[in-house]
Amino acid sequence: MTSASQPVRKVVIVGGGTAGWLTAGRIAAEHATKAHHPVEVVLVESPNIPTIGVGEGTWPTMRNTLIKLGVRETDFIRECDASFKQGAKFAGWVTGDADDFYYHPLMLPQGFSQGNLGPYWQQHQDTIEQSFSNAVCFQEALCEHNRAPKSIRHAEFGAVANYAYHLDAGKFTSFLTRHCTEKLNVRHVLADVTGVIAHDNGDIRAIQTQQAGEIDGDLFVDCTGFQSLLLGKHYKVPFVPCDDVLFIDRALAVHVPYDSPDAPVATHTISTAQQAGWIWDIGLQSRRGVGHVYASRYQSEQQALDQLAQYVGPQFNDLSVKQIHIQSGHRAHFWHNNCVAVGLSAGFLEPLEASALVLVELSATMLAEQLPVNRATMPIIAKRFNQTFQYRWQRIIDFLKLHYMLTKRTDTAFWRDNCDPATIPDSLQELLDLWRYHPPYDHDFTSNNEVFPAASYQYVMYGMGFESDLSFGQQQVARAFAQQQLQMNQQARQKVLSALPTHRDLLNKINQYGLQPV
Amino acid sequence: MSLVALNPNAHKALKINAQQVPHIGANAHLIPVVVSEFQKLVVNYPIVFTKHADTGQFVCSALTGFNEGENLFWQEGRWQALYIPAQIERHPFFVGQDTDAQGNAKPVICFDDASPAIADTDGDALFNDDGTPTSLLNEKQQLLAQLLDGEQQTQQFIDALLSHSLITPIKLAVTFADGSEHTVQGLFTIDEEKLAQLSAEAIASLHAGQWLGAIYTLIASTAQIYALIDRKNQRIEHGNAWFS
Repeated sequence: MTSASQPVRKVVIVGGGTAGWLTAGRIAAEHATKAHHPVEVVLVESPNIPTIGVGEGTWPTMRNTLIKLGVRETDFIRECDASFKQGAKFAGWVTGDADDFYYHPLMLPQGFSQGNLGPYWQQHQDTIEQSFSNAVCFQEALCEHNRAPKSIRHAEFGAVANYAYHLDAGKFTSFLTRHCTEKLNVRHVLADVTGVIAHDNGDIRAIQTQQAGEIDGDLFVDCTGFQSLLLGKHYKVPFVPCDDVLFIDRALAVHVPYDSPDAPVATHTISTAQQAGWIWDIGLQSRRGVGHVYASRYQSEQQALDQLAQYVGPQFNDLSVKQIHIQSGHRAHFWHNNCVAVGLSAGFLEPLEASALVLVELSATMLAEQLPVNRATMPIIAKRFNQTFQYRWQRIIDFLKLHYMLTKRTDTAFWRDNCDPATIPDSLQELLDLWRYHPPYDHDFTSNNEVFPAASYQYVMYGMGFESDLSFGQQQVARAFAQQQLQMNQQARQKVLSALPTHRDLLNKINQYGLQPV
Repeated sequence: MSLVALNPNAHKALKINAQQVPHIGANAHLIPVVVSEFQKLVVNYPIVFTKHADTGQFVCSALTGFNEGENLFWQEGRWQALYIPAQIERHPFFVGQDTDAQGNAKPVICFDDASPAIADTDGDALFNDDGTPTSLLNEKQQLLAQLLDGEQQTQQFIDALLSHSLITPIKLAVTFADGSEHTVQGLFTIDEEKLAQLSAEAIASLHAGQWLGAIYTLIASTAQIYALIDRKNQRIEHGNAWFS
């Protein structure tokens, strides 16, 4: 029996993919090396189950995560085949025409905190003669010209332009394994979980393993991937699918080598819409990761393969294709008794906005920062955790759906059905009803737990040609202010384009010389 | 620039106009320096670290101005300081490389044939009548040797500082006499707070490497930034006097 005053002294992470190691690392960095009341962190990993290795794209949050883990950015870039990501380019999502694209960069629109340029741009776009993202942010130009977000003279994690990473998930896991075990006191146990031993109150007392016997703990983190061994299989917390909103359920992935070692590396994720899904294209240092996610309800695997082959080109025939079945959705709740799920065990959504790793980071951060000190406070923090992440999953689903439902494409049933009001969540529909008259801005997003800020909505909505009815003169900014901001962006763009090296050049220099910590 | 290997026979009559030598640094706001000259530099210059434009690696320099092209020690056609950094003073000479009979690389002294300091008539001789080097040439040779050895030693100094995370950006915003504001960027120094918190072992290792003298000299030299600001203000006031 557990008592309410039972302190949390030992956290057991079950599963050793990126979710497991990021969570172990964050908790250990915060608690394992403390002089007073240290918390032991154990990671139990099956020697027989391969990791899925989803998520080659991160958010800018990963920089702070790496800093918290005490990782050198130079080591990370070198050892994880990593590159710099400055946003996403969506091609073919609006009309499907050859010149149809828009950007979702990682920097706020110019002067965002002082005024909303959205309505001004909407009314004057014919004279501005630039897309919204290009007119209000210089990052699109950096992406289009393959420029790095910083130079070799910037400190690790410092930059001119905000950035995230593209990385090799397998290499990242190995990198984190070494760092967590060597620097952060995480104990690594290679063993297969065979059962769960429960307390009377339903808490997990220990997990039974084949190779290492019983492993007891005060808090168990389920990072077992799609298996969801503890939360799903043991506690039977139901899975809430969202395939009625997001139709994607298959992925075909390939690694595409570069033509030459000095080939340009894209500094943004390229997402190209297809007939019943889209193709991701991610540039690492040594190869590209390319994949087709599609809805099997709308097309056969052969059709999907053909489209992927056409995208990749003749070398496709030499590549091995990895097939992944995905089910979009998440568990009804994530923290049950003394068990919390992080990563795929909590849920999965298509990688359209790289939400997988950021959800892991947000979960790991909340666990590390609000780790219950004893069993008595656990239900309170569990409740808060569940509310927070139910909200976050729903908001991500809404935001992903936005990319589909604003399309003007009618060429296939996939795109037509995506615009069917019956497939649009009420929470998203309500915002759209508001935005028909009130242009999207900061005040629409008031929660502390927001995942995508107002600026992200603006980039996608204006990128996809959404227009508010502005006949009531809502949110007008002074013409002088707007023109000044657009001018400032133009000047900044010229400055960074002449000052920053190419992405490949910076990566080469980091490999050769390294970035300085300051 | 055209580099020529110095040869006692061919260049017997060559003369150096010492006045012209510092000209080379008239427009430099950062002069690369080596640890072995810190004791002399501290009399005039702030010693700082900057990052090499191509490699991002730290280099050690004397700060002589606040903007590109501005050397505040260069006044009225001459370098006004008690000590001129070796990197300037060694001109018009360079270290080149030659291969000996066995095919091994060996350093040789070269000079810049196009340098304004090279003179045929006015100036000081490099060789005595018997072909031996004059004290001037000996001095230049010593400077080149100091720089050659110093480059490696200075790199070791920087590596030692980095291994203890002792390099930190200089945070300084200056308002000059004319009201113009300048935020110092891209300059680094030694983190005194971190230095004070180093463990006994860490201090012992810096001591064993004989870096402590250089560390404290560099820290002391930082105060010369205020003397440099003063030079800048004087220059501004001179400029104003012209128009008043």
